[in-house]
Amino acid sequence: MTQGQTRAHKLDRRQFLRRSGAVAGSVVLLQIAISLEGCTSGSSSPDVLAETVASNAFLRLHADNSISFLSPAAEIGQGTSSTLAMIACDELGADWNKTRFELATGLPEYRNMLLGQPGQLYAGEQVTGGSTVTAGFFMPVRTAAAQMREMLTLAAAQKWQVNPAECSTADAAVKHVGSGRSIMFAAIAPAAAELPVPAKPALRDPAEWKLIGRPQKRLDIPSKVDGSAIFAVDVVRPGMLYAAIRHAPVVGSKPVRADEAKARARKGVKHVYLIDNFAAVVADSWWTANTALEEMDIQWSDAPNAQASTATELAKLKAALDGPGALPFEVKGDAAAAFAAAKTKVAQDYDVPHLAHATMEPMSVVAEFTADGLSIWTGAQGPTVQRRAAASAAGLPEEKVHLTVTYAGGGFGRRGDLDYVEQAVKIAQRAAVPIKLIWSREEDIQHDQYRPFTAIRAEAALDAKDNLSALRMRVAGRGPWSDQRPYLVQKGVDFMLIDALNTKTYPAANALFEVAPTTSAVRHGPWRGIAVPPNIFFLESLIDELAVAAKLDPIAMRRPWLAGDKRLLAVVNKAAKEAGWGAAREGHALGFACYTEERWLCRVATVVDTSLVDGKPKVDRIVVAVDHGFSVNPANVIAQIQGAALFALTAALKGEITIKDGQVEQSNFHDYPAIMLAEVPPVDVFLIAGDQIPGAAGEIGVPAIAPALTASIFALTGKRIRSLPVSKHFA
Amino acid sequence: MISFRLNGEPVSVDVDPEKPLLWAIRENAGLTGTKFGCGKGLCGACTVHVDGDAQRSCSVPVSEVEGKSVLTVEGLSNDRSHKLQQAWIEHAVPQCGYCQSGMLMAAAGFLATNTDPSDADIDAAITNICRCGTYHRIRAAIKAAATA
Ligand code: FES
Ligand code: FES
Repeated sequence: MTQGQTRAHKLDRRQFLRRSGAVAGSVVLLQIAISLEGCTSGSSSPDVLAETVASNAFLRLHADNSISFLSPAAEIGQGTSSTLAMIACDELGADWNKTRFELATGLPEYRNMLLGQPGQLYAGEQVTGGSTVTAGFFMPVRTAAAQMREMLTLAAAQKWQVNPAECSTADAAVKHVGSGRSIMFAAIAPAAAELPVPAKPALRDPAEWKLIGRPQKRLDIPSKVDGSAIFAVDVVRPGMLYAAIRHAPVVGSKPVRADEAKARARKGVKHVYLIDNFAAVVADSWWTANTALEEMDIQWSDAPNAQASTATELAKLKAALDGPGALPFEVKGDAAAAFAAAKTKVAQDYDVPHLAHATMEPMSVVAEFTADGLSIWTGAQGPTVQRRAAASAAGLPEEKVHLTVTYAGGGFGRRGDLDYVEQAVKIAQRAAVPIKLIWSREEDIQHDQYRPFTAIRAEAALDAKDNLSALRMRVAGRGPWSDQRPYLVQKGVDFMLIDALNTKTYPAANALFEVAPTTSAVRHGPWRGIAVPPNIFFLESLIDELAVAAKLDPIAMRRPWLAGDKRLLAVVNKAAKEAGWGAAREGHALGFACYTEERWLCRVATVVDTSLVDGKPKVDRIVVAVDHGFSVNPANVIAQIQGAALFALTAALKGEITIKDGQVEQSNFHDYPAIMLAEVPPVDVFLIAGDQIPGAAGEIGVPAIAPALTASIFALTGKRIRSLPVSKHFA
Repeated sequence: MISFRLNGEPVSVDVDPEKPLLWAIRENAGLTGTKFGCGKGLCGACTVHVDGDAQRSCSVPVSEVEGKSVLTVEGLSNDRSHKLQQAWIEHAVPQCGYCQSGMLMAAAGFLATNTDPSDADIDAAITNICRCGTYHRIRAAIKAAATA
């Protein structure tokens, strides 16, 4: 694997920080062949990198005039490393055909710009999550590239003794307009290195953009059609052995004993360990290790959770909905009075099941102890947090741990978790050789950090003029932070359970939102969109039921409520028009849902078209209209929204993790199925640019799918699905 | 010792004959383009060709390919010039990319049997899983490659 590092002239970290100054988010440092300590790449193209002639936190300019973009994002399929590289290349005036990216970590500049500021959720942390990367790094990357451009331009202008304002950059060269003179970046870089770093470089006028805002092919695509892209599962280290594991089947249980002799009798098995809540076998082949685990008859300790089932978990949710002790988190006006005065009202309970992530690449990580520390390779969504966890599992100071971010075979929120990283460290420490830990698919499905099983009691009211006069919603469950980051749960309210339960989409004057926290027999974690998809399913299903009760067209009923949000209204109208709302084909029915995600500038409207085939609903088409601000790479945004639609459709149609005797019942793709080509409907995406600032993209295609689907199924069959997935209602 | 041809080269591996071909390719032959997704023949990430037929290598004991010819994604071409690789690049198919080696090998096996596929033919033949949801572009790229 290419390290992408020039080790020849290594600056130590202190030296680097001293030279870099304090320009937030964009430290320009023109140095010959420098290397940023801790900044490593796992996935740059395999070609040998030419010598670096200029560099800052985000960019390296090489002697062959190519550039490397040092990406603060994980590459989990969302493509933002290429998106940011486009921004850097365009702002600098480099050559897109000679642009590559490397997955970087280790510098403060890489902290998440929207979630990682002081006092925020991930203060100081490098995290790919919440669809924040493009939006957050748009300005810092432009600034860093503009700094480099200004220094190169000024050096060339000085050389030619012309006014730098008459110079421009394109195709990796500085050009002087009047004289037609031109010099390649690499040739002027040494002179540029002598110049001070401009604190506030002028950014290019958007009218000059050649890449930004225009569809571009992702830079990682070629490596993903010939098998050369390196994922954690592919990393090979000298002397490395393979580890497979079995988790305790029930949360809270531990391995007590196992037939270790039997495991060791299998040729190739080197070590057997019982650690914490798992058993591990280390062998010269992953298959050998995994097979030995199957044969070694592990005994697990009893745990109270062994009594749990999906039925007992549901009973817990219902009891929380019925009982006292719900915590209000938004109170507006007088909901009780509005309900008393309502012309039309609906009240229903809804629930969504546990869901696994089932990333295509199961959890995988390589850990290697070296003479002076520990090296980790993994497709990290949270490299700084995961590095800290590895350090603590190893009993090492953090600076002794080196983490390389590899490509990840899907993330969906799962690859910021700590469990698999800590396990690999503990196994490698015992085995005293480099270890590649790969979870089997069964472990991946059965020991995930699941999207929570959540239930809601939801009520809505229309006044005499068919205005939405009140919303009352009480959600029950256990949010992901309650397990993973309890310090973020304030006064019992886990934001990751209640997000999107608010009056932003529909400004009801009277509202009461409450949360009723419960315990859970399995662990929870962030799953693409976290609480937004469940809560938009609840809210939009309720609104659709309200339209039915009031005998109103679901979109026509909503329109007057959206008068204050022109952007939302625009996507609603676009989706309705493109889907042929009001004129469903014979035998078909349309269902609608929309939502506002204020934080990340998003407005989404979705129409799902279904028909009945053999008594079961079949999805014939999905239309999504999106305003997420400005699309830096519209082709990638469309791919993300299509992919998100299919991801959400899989979940809504058939995604369900159930529990029996405390254990997850599903284990692989036969009983936790994914959508396949034959079931894939057309997904038509329409982008409406409502802003010049880029917003989110990776998650926004998820939330409106399930409610639009179930609304469509209701219109088609009269059957209202209030408990997902759809499949259990059409067995 | 089990001997077969891998991307045209003779290889011999000294392993348990029950070891799945997938792991022999990845661990013993050192070619990591072929991916592990489920280990049970359910996802297709491990698809390779055995004597020209697309097979899920996680479910083929390596002893079964003794004397046979195995083709992996690395052997489709040495410069991404295979018409499916070209179509995959042209249609920007991959997202995370993890399923794509298997998709390409499944598609290559399929096109060898059907040179003018309809959407329905493609849908019936390609039963690999892509969790990123790249299916629309997969379908388009297969059709483009068929006519290339
Ligand atoms: S790994 Fe072979 S079919 Fe999934
Ligand atoms: S591209 Fe990610 S699973 Fe297919």
